[in-house]
Amino acid sequence: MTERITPIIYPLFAALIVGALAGFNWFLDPADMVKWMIAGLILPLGWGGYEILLKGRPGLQRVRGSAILAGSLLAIVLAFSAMDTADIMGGAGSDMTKRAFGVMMGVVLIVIGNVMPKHLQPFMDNAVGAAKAQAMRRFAGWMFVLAGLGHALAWLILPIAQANLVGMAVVAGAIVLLIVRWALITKGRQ
Amino acid sequence: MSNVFKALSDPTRRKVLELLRQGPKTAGELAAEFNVSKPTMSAHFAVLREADLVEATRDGKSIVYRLKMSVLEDALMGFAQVFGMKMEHGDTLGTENTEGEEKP
Repeated sequence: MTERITPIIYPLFAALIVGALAGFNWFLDPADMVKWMIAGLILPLGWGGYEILLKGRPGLQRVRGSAILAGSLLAIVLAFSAMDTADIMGGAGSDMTKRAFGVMMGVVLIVIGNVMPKHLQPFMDNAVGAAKAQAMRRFAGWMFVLAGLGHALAWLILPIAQANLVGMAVVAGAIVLLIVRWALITKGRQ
Repeated sequence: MSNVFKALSDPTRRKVLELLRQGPKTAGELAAEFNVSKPTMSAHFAVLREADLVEATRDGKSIVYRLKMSVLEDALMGFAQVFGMKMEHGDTLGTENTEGEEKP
């Protein structure tokens, strides 16, 4: 019944990667120093603050997990920003970069969906009851993972002109299914 | 991850997870579904907790178990059920015939 804690090295690594990418962006675009400083320091300061506040208390696992996720998202955005500024792979406007970004967004959805049923444990329990809330969390997790897969595959294999439309349609479809499922669950409770 | 494979390799533990898919259950409710001794059942619960596939909370005198599986783990369990996965990880519980064991 003890909380399983992610080793501190993982969020630390995420913070270091974000810091390095922010530094690289600063190097490429020195005029926006404040912007890159905020981007580079927001994670170590935010996560570090919580780490000190929650030392030895429950909840540390969620903070570290969130720091890793936030770090990954920030790193993706900073990497694309650097690619754009340095005109790597044709910058943000090129087909290759668009595809890479689309696939990355799909992967983000997969990662979030995968951990959703595991880490959102008591979420909605009071609203609809533990069993229904658990079913909803599992459904939401699967929908996010499948939508992410669909989005990533669309950007990977379809022509650029259709990839955005199909990718968005897949994600929108998943959200509609989630809303319908939630409506059915809450309706069944009344 | 090897803890997860170890946990999913045993049919009794897979059945426990399947029961927990319906919603949180007490240790007693789960044990009542199996014809195994209490210590064996406790050992199965311990393996599932170790793999972080279930969460146990104390509610008065009873312990309530709830599912704590990621989508990947959920999918792995599905595969294990379909293909009747039996993997050797030096898991004594996974290899013994717990289903046929008599209750004391």
